[in-house]
Amino acid sequence: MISSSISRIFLTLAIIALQTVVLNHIHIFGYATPMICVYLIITLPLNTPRPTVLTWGFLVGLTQDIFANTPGVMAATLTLVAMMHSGLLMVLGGRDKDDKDEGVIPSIKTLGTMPFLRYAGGAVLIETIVFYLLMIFNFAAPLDTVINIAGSSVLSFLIIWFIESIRSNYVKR
Amino acid sequence: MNSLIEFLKKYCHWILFIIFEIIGLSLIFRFNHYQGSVCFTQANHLAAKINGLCTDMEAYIHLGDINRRLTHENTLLQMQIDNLRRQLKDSTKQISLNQRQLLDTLAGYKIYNARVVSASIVKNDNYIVIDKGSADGIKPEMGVVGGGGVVGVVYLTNNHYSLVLPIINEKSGISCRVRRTGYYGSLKWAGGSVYYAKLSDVPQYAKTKRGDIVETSGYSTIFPPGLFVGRVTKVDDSPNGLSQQLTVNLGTDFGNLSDVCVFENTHKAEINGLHDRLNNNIKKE
Repeated sequence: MISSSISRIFLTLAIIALQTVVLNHIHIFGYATPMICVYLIITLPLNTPRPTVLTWGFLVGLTQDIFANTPGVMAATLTLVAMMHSGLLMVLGGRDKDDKDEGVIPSIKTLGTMPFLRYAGGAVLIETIVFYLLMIFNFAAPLDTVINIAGSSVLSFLIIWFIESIRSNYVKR
Repeated sequence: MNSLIEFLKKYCHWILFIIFEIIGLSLIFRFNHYQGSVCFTQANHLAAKINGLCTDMEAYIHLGDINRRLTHENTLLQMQIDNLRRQLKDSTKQISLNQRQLLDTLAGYKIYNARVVSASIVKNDNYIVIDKGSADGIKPEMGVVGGGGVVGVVYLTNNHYSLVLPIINEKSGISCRVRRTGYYGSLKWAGGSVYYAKLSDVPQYAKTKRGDIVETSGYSTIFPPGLFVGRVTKVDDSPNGLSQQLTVNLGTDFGNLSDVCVFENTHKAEINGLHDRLNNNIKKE
């Protein structure tokens, strides 16, 4: 329990540091910026109470906002993702409401590759859509907005997949 | 209380979600200038729309009252327009008629304004004195007209005053005609009431009626034609039975006469010259 908590704290610090220091400065073709903070929400244990998930999502988002100078944007985005967390798990992750493995952490290993990727993909898509809509806040250039969302979603998804693969291998060993 | 706690337990994640979203959005609009300005503008726009809707609804609710008031105002205005239209019609008619008459009548005449200084109306030989004389261009045998109609003829003048022989003088005689029929005669006053004079020598076949207007004929060089003299009040036969004698109610109130106009015929000398030549020729023959 303690080790899992410590590992979660380290994971959180690492993800936020990675996002703040490295990923926030990546703008591929001026469009695609990876956003991987959602990984901290989608990897919460299945038995985590919804208020906790929401609070966790809001705090992670707020922390990210402080470092990225996007006050409130990521907090509102990750709160919405946190709210949809259980729904995404059921619809895309293949988990039922009455699942017995309540302490399980969603991963490629526990959910399976495709269900996890669908689940992660859905969460990432929601995150980027909400984030860019809140950031751009107009529909003057809808094509640019769509390219931003698509580029960032793909990039974020690939990085999350990569991190999850490393993490799964590490946990396996 | 229990049900409230149950409700909060059941839906606390929704309440929490709403609170976090409100905080998040508040931060966005508070610290991001663009989003803040857009939100402010849109909020203003929305508020203006809502206010507009409220005003429209209020106006719609009061439409009945407004409609009644407008109908009332409309009726009043229509009455006013009708009244003004009639006034304009009358006024236009009068102006055009007056102008036309004036142009026709006053061609070849000069007009002098004068004031009545003294007047006598109780004798058989009544006279009127006006404050314009030969120094002002007034000469004998000029016609004098007042506001009510023909007054008389200038008889004598000095530098600054003139003596007028009014209709109500037994020596006076003015050529007049009945406006409707065009038949003319000579207007004379036979004493008595200053309101009535007699128009004699009107042919018997002239179908004169009571109320017919009597005006100047223009056959003399004294008055222009068409100046109002009075109205026929009685139609009689003359003493010799050959013509009609009309009793005319004079338009001029000699008891209340103050301002008059004196008419000068500018062609009078030429016309008189013709008369003189005719008389000379007759004498020679």
